[in-house]
Amino acid sequence: MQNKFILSSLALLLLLGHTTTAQNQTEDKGYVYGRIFSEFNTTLEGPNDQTAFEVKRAYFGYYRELQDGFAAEVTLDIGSPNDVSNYSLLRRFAYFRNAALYYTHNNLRLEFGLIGTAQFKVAENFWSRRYIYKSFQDEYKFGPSADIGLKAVYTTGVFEFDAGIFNGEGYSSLQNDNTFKLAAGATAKPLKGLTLRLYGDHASKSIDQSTISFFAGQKMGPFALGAEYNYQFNRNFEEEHDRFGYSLVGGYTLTEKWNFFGRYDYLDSNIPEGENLPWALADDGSALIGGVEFKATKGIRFALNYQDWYPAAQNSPNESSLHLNIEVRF
Amino acid sequence: MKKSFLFLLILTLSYSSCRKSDYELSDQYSLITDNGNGIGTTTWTADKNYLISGQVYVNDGQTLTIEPGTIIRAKTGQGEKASALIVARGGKIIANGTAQNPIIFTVEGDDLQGSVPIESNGLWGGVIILGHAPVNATDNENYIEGIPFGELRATYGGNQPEDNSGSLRYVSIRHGGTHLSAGNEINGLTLGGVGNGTTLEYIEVISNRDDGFEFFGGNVNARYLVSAYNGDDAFDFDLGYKGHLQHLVGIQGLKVEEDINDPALLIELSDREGYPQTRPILVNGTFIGKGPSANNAMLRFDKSASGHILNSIFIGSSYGLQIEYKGQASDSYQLFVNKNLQINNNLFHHVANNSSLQIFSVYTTTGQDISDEDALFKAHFSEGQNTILDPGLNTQLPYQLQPTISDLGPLAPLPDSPHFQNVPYKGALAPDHNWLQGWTLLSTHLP
Repeated sequence: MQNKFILSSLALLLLLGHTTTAQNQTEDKGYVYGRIFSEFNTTLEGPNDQTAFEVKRAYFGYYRELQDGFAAEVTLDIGSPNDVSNYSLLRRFAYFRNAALYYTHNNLRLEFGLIGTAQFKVAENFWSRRYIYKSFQDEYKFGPSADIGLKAVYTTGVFEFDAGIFNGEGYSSLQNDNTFKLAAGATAKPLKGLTLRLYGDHASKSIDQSTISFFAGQKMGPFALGAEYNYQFNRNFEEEHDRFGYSLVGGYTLTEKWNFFGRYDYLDSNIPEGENLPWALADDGSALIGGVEFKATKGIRFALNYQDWYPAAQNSPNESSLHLNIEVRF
Repeated sequence: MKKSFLFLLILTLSYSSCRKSDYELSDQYSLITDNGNGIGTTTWTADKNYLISGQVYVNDGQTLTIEPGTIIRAKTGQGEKASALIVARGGKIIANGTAQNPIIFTVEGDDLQGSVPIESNGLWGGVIILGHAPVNATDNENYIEGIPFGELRATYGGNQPEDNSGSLRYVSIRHGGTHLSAGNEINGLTLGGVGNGTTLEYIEVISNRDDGFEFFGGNVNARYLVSAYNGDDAFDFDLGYKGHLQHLVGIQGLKVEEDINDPALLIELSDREGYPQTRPILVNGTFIGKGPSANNAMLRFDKSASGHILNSIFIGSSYGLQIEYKGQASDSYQLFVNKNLQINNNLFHHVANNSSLQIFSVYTTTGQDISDEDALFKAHFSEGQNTILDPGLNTQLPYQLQPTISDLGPLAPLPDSPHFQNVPYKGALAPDHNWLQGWTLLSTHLP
């Protein structure tokens, strides 16, 4: 089943490429790129006292435009992949985050292989500070940022539609079953500075898991304000185990180099029938992030910021810490 | 100014309190989770109920101490959601129970009064201990089965044969075992590269869906081990395991389902090219199969595994002991010829039709005629002073595992090892002392 899917997808891409060979004879071009996330942090409050320098993550990739609308990209993710534990922060570990073939024709773009998912791309771009904290769905594991599969993106006017079929297990896991995740989303930019997005996905095993999310963001002058709401039914394919929450993000640009930012996340879970506590009470809670960001030069950012995590359970200790984050892009 | 400060303080306090729910984590259980930092150096005490949620690690440099009488339950779950306790390399577990107050690992909801039927298996993961001792793998390191790929703490092996992962005494592991995927499963007690500085005594694995005990390399010694009603092998040795084992009980159980393509064995020894090679010394075992009509072998040496099996009792199986011929200098048959594989002074009853010509056999997948090799190995049955004799055990419920026949034949001299206790009997239990009583779940099936 999986092999058939891959072969048929590849055949589709090659067929599309063949039909356009005569149309687009462009020059080959490519570029190397990289991103480094590092930080210094110190605990203000909480059971795990820590003061440390960390290189949290590094990406190194190559993107090459081929002929006839095709392009290919390989990205190494070195450090802590999204879906392994924090312990990996202590050691270096490399994954392919992207190993993809792209095809673009007019308003249609097809992506195949190990590709970025569109699930929370819009919210992540609006937040734009992954080097400090991942966006809500990424941080709380509502889905992987990259996965193996096929994705199509179609743009028309102020709308962009995306749909994909993925393994559903992220980019550090091999496929170990015949389950696929179907995903679809629509993004609209109806007014200047306003972005809206609706997204849903579904994967079926003996229990179905599905996710819906809505995002709205407005940038107006120096201000930026965004909000998203996410609900995941039967998380990890366990019946009556829903996870949901929202994230509010805001920013104020003081000068070209300085800006302030803030964010509040709220994560909750349902109470299964016959029980009297939320099923994920131990992991429910809220996060607050706020600080000031300085753009030293093109490709280099610093952020001094406060982060906390307040567990929802009355008897779980709060955690807070101070961070100096650095991002380098080239 | 003061009013503004007061207002800000009230706002801060009220904001902090509204970020908490009305719920408290239940005092009924101390929930054990792992966000990647391990569980820390900590002590689990008998006055609390512990509930493991997910795969939790004792990280490098951390020590988990468990007091006698402590009950640790684990959340149910299959595959990657299985709960398990994993002691990573450099971590330690000190779990020293007593016969009166054993330490019990079981599934959530087990009231220890029969709420979970004794044969129920696969309800959670298991216990995994990883160490720095040598394993037959590239660079002496491997990745333990049963854990999703990508977790670096699941790496085991090294070059420290005296590595110490702690101590397990009087520990019962119940109802665990799960399959992540084909060939990737969690055993009741998995030991990966565990060194001989570690103490393993009086450990029961009962009703595990996969193997009871599996040793991946390492050279940890162990004694007084019970493996009962497990879905796959009772004891499995692989990847260069070289320890010394004494007083082992293996019971397959009639009700346990097994993979018909890979029938369960009481003992499986296997290996691959490279060093070290699996070569344990096992003395004083009592192994009870599914009966003379069951289509199972009792013990098998695969590939390049060898070892010594001495002074043990084997009862109830249609096939006996098998070794593999591959036509190679390092296959189990050649290791037998070289006397690295010895099966001496054991006792067999209702095994392979009670025929001394059938109990030992050589098998091959090469298609070659191995009649001569088979004859040579069969001759080892009598040369090794193995006998066919009813030791007077009861292999039906309730089990009577202590021999009632006084003279079970001559004993093989034990290899020179401080680990071995020089005892005057065959099998795992002395006629006058039942070390299973009191602390094992299996003892509910004893008289």
